[in-house]
Amino acid sequence: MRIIRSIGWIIASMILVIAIWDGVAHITNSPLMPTARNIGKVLPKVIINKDTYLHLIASIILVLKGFGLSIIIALPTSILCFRLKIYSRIVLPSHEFIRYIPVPAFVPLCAVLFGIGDLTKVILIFIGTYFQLVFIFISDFLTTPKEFEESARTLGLKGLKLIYKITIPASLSNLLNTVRITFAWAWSYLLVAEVVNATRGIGYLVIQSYRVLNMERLVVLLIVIGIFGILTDNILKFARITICPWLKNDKKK
Amino acid sequence: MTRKNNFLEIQDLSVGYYEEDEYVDVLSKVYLSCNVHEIVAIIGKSGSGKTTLLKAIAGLIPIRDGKVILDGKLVIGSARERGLVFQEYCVFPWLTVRGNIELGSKCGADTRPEVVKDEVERLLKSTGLLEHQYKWPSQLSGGMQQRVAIARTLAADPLLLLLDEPFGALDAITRLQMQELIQSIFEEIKQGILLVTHDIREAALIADKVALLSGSPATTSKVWNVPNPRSSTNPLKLPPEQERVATEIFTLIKAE
Repeated sequence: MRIIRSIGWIIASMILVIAIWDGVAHITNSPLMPTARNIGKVLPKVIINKDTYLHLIASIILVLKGFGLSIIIALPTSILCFRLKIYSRIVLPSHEFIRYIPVPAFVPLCAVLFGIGDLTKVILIFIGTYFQLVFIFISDFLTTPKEFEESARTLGLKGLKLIYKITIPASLSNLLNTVRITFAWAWSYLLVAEVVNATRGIGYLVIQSYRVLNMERLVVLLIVIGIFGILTDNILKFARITICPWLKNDKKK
Repeated sequence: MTRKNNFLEIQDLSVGYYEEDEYVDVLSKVYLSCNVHEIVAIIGKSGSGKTTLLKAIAGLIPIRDGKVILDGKLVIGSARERGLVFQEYCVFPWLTVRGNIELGSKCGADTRPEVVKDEVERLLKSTGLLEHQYKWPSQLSGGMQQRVAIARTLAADPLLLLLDEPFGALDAITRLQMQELIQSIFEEIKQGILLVTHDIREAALIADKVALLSGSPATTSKVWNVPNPRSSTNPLKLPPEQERVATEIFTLIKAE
């Protein structure tokens, strides 16, 4: 019942967006602003086209590589920063500095250093998410009540045992929530990279449509990206509850 | 391991913290002792340093001066010999009731699987948690969660149990039940217990000794030996000797 109600709200929200879009399209009456009806005609063609999915999968693989690398490096870095003051004093200022440089500004540098292939896209996703993840992961660790660790220390837990038996499980639900939220950023940075140079990927399709001013197809591709985003978000929410089963009964989750 | 009387001795203890490069004393010249199988209640106004004292004994905060000696050994840092139960965030929410107690037992002196299993079963029974063993802490009431925390701490087989206002967040009825539970558990264990409480009657009811922390920085201003401790389970109707101690404590705190 809850799922049906949730889907109902999503549909209602989408209808509202479509109604506003269509209203603006009719008022402006511009070929660059396709009506909902014209978009609706193109939608099935794009959705049943195998190529759309091949490009989507190519994009997903790049995101998983870049974002996965970010998580793998950000998690131990944030644990070390959280645990060792000296480490955080050495590491965090440089991370803070890089965190404020917009990802698109790295595109020329990465293109020169790593070429214009997939590696550059992976690196851009990494730059866009890693430096943010470190700070949010640290914040996740800090918001966990310190009494958990203090209790555990009086049970005799120390060092690595304390980290994997208490620090990580105590923050796990928050860490997974952070991963869910920042996954959307990874996706955005991939599109930034694919817009600059690509021969495949969903961003490439968007740019192709823009170049030939096929606005209906362009909007449909944006819808596909949006649907994929909602699906991913829900899969990650489900994964979080599955990995952290104690949250099912927690009213504060 | 032989466990002597006066097995916890706190001598001339001073503890504080730095606030903008200035050292602030919280406790100064605290003296206290606890025998094996004895409950010592620590009482005092809010902010009198009761929790700080427990944390210093637990080795969670550094000691400036003085020493804490447990079972003839100088206390340095945290260890499973001094188990601490907090008022809040006392259980690990990512572990079931059984998982919480199992974790404590796996930190104990004997971690053979069969010993851990037996110990967990025994504690589940003695704390009345057997039928809740596979529940998550979020499915339990506050009193039940405190039972889990106490069982988990006992599972690690500490020499000393440190309870930091463990019933402070509970309603009156649950509090009475927990006081009874502590008394019944206490009969089964060999550990000493240091209990921080705001409740004078609770202190007089279940403790062998009551220590009053007062002043700024706080010190042990008086220690009472309670005659016939735990001779009643009703804090509303204390036996005359305990009532006298409770009245004395109340008068002294009021006069501060």
